[in-house]
Amino acid sequence: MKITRREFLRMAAYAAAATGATQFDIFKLKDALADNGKPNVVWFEGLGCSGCSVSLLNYFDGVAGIEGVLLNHIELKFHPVLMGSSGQMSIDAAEAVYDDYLTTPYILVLTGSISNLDGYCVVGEDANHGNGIMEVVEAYNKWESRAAYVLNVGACACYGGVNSMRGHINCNDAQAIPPTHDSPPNFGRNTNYDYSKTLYIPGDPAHPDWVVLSIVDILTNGTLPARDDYGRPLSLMGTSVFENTIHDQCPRKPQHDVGNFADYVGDPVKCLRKVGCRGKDTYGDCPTRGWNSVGAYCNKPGVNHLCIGCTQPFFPDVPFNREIDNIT
Amino acid sequence: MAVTTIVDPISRIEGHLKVSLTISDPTDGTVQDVKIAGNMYRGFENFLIGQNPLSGPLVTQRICGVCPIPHALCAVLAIDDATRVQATNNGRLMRNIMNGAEFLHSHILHAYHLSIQDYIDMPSALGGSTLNQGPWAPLFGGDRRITGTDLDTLAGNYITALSMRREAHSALAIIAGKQPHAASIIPGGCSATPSSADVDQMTALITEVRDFVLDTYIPDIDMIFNTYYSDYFSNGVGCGKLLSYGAFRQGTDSTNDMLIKRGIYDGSTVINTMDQNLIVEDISKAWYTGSDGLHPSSGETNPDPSKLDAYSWCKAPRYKTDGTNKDVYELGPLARMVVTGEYPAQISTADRIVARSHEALLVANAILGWLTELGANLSEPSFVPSEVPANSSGVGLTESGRGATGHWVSYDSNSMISRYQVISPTAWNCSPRDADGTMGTLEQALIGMTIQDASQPVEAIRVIHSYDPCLSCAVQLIRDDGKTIRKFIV
Repeated sequence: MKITRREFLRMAAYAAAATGATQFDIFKLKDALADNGKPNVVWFEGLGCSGCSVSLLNYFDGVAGIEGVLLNHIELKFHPVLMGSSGQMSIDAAEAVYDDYLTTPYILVLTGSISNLDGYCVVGEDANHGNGIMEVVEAYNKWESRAAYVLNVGACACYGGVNSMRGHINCNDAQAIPPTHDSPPNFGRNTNYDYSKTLYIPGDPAHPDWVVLSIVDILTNGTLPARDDYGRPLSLMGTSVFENTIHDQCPRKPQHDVGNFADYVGDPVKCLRKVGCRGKDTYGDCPTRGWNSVGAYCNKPGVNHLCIGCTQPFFPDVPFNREIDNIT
Repeated sequence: MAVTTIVDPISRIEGHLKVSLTISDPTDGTVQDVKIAGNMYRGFENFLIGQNPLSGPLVTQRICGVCPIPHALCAVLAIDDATRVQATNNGRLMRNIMNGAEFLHSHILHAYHLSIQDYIDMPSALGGSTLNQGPWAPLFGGDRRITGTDLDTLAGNYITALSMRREAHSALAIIAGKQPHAASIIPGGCSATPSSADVDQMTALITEVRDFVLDTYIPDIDMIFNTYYSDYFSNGVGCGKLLSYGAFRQGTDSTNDMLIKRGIYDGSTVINTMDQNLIVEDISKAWYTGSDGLHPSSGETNPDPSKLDAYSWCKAPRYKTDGTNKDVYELGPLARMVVTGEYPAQISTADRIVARSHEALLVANAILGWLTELGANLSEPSFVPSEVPANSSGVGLTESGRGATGHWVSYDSNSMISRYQVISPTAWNCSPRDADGTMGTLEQALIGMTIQDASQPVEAIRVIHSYDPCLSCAVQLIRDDGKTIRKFIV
């Protein structure tokens, strides 16, 4: 089985059709690929669960899965879960990407949080540099400095996620000060942090479409998509992503509007806000995009659970099962 | 002349783990000493204290993005235990279906995407150009015995397997909301109310995955180990004892009636009882302070990375088989299949991977049965409401893809969480030495094995991957000069 460049373009066309992009956008994408070839991607994991990597593997454009992206779309040079090599061989591959940044631009992806504490999270060892030990924060700061674009993928990489729960110390600084355009979450480490090239793709985990379409959008337009106050893409390939609340798209919204509220989690019909649904305060496209290629999402009628706000900087706002009002 | 080689990180596992191998003589290549070290601390057990009980299933799933469902199940089983509530029949069926589909995703992922690359040279497959790129290239060389058509078949099935494990996730997301990290797993059952069309769609997806397991996955694993790597049936033995909590409750929702049985293999006999009261956690070589040898219901988690002589973030769980001595046990699909009577009591690197493929078929067929039963009773309740009593406690035990998983939870006078202890399967399999100096099972599996090329220790990596550790891993080779290559900066 071999997936050709033509098939990739077909795949990209499918993705574009699904997201409403025009033929003109596809030509731009083709040109971008012809000009630059495939960008290298270096993917580091900090304090995390590999959930965003597993989620990426669930990518499906309706015809092909993640294999189309890996074979024809990007060159994934370092990824702790997927790469064949280990040890110095894998570190060397990441170093080569760093060294070659002028000839082949690269995208840096971070999943998982940056730990504030030395020794709590090590990504690998490089025998050729210093004491050899690469804490995740050191790896992130080094590769970030030369990356064409940086994608912080998942709740933990974006805003701390569960690692920042209850002000727990073993996380980045993002949760302590809610990030905004004026005060972007910079992990408190790198004073030269270049916010202008950084995209925040939250979610616990991030939806695979959000990650792949972000890369497609960047390759198509040669720049980052427009972002909201928390660094999230408002839309990708012409379709809303973080522009609307879950509530705005929720099929239970008519129940909300007539005051028909559920009094327990598991109600298949009524609005779940009074038992803790965060849909009104949470931005994303889960109800319209759906998850896992089957149109699923947490508060879907038939699933009957709560939106727990996993794309918001406040996540996880515990306890989940309580009524909340206009949190940010 | 002693030469030092460092290999770090080990890829194709989840999380962060370090393995130090001491090889006395490079020409001989025998591993003389081993230390396994968990390399990440997050502190879930501590940030759950003071939380509402319902935070348990949602928050503990974030321990692992490969096996969130078993953590959610342990969390709600612990609540059900504290409330003395049994899940409704539909709730039980949906819990089984979700965890079963999680097994299928996890086993296929392990076989094709984490483990097979230790045996096949992916970059040279399919004509040598298609896969000669990241993430498949570069790759450790050495001892690659599979070529030609067989190589191309396995490489092609790597691609097919990507869609099969995705479809297992799709099936369970229909009632879970999304995956990884499900929504619908709640005390007393499951919040989902699937339609008959939902059940039909899940059945179609699981049938396709089951057929792949039968027609492709099992034959591929048989080919690798019976045709090319039969010597791996005689290495990586480890501690020689197996333990299973059991999973997938059948009609009575009782732990006495489960598809995967509870029990131990003590090295000579299968015994279908396992008393969780005999589990203790040893912290003598782990970066924690406090009392040693506690049962998890009274366990403590006080991190101290400056602790002298410790070398891992993993505690060392042990099982007191005779009520006194703390014994090392191996967990996982091989342990489950032996304890359930579905696989002969033989333990090796290859047996772990073969038993995992057989278990995938057993579970896939069982899911189809549960879906039939669910489809015939869709109007029955999905869950029964419950309230956690004040000053109560509960235990939740089940199995995840890589082994027995348990949560021990206590609730205070306001019914809030006052203690939360999790023992994950990798803590058992990758445990450090205990107070008696006894190594964990993976340490024992690696000691004495022969490494051909210290710079590319593919043999050790095959043994490590056979346990499917849920930690990112680093192998560090130390020669006989005893020089410590790497220390944590604390």
